[in-house]
Amino acid sequence: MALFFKTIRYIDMRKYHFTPLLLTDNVSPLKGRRFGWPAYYNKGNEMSGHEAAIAVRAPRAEIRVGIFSNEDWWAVWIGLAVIVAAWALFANGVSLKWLAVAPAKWKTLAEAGEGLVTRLPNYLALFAAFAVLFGVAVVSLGQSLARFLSAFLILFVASLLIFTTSSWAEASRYNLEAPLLALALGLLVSNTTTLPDWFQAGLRVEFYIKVGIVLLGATLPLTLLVWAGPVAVGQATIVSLVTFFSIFFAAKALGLDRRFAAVLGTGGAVCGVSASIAAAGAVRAKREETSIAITLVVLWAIVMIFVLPFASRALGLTTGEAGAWIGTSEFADAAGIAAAQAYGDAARNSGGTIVGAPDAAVQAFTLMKIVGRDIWIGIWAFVLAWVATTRWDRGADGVRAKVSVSEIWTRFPKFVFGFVLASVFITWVASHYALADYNKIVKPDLVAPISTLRTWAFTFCFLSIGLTTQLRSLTATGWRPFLAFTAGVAVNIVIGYVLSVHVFADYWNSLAG
Amino acid sequence: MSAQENNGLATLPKAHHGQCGDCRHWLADPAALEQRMAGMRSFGSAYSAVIAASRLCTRHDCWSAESDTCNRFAGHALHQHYPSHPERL
Repeated sequence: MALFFKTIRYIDMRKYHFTPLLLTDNVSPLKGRRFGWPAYYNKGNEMSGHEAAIAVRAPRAEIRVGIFSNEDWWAVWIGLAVIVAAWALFANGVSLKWLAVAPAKWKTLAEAGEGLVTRLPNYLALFAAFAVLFGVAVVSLGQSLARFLSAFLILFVASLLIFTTSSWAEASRYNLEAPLLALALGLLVSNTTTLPDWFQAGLRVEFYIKVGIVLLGATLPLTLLVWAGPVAVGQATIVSLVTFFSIFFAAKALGLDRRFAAVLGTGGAVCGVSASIAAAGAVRAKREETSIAITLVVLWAIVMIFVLPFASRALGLTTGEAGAWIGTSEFADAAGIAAAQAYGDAARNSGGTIVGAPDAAVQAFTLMKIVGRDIWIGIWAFVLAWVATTRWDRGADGVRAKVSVSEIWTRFPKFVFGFVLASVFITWVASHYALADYNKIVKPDLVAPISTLRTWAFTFCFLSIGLTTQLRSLTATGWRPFLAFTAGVAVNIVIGYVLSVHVFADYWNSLAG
Repeated sequence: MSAQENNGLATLPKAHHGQCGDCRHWLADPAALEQRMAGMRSFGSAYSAVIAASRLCTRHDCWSAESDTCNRFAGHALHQHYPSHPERL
């Protein structure tokens, strides 16, 4: 009889993912009040230890791992696929220029309309290319393709209109640079109307910015990365540490919990919302605390998108200096790229008023933010997790965590690999040409189309920022977190300015050419 | 806490805590996470690498990792995962 019951339970366990090893345990199904079911299925019955261990073995929710498991990896594959495809075409005497189109400068609405109609087939092909590339990633990440494509179509058309508007010959006079225009328009729409849920599926801010950053790697020679990288790391280390401890100690002085203080500090010191999430996960912070940190990052990031380019212009900074300052003092990658590109666009149309190559603003920003600050997030998370686990008591009822060094790798922003690989690849391609030939052949036929696609990705991102930032949905922060974070913002801006414009100015100005 | 007080699921003895990854209070779905965390989509993403295996525990209303533990563990609802459970019959 005992064997019979064990057999019955064995089948039952296999079917429902129970562990067969537990069959040898001394658990009799006759303990239960219903024949054939063990005691733990009956309400009110106490479980033995082994029964409990069996009962809870439900299928585990899957956390994906591997090189197709998150947006970072997909940004790497998409960016590198575009670059390799562009190179393959270039090597066979064809250019990606036909696909990588952008509106031409126009003076009258008739010209603008004519431009749109003339390039319509190119725009349709471009939409299809982006839809396929992004769509594969979206499906792989378990999101709805139909929702994404519907939303992305609207996003693409809106981006095209914004791109066209910013190509107006008089646009710079009214500060209608594409990043600021996209952001302002997005904010206006999302805060005055209610966007449908399905539309949110296409607003992947992080994904678009990461794809754009990988593509940006193809315009940045490896030599520049190696030369300016250590300076960026040095400057970022100083600023990050000072900012973190400013916020952390200010928050503690104001009576906030240490975990909360750490989340706020990391958000201000490293990479904004991503850093807040990583730090919150590492120290097992409360959801509400994370929401407040995110709110503060979002608010200050948006303020800085407008303030930093205008302040840079008022202070007469070169594009390199401004890019480095923005890279040091902006909180989020996407917001910083918007500010740096806005300054680069302003320099392009300034007639020499702003000194330096327009692209230097985004290049300096990227070196400073991505190489200098972002790549250390795993180490920040690991150190915070270790401190939180060993020094900060959670209480008997709290979550018990283990710290692992693997956290440094698992939280590493993988898209940085794509950025560096793109730089290595384009440097290798360029090494086969003399400088004159590179400027005459490689730049217009290979690098320029990749830059155009990058600008598209950034425009999707800027518009998505505005459309996802609904101020009414953000958490009320309270004055103490606000004061603590703002103290860090003030310190960060001053130190960032001094380091970018005085201490390391020569490096950043070398970028500006 | 009796089993009735905990939606029919008994609180486990201390020696047999399950991991958060197996717990029904653990919010594994990135889309649900983005919905619960206001502002997260503006400059961040629940699908990014930095989030790693961190998710929200809806019981403690805090972040936890897949391998974390606590004394409030609750396995997934038996009705959901065990369709031949006698209470469904």
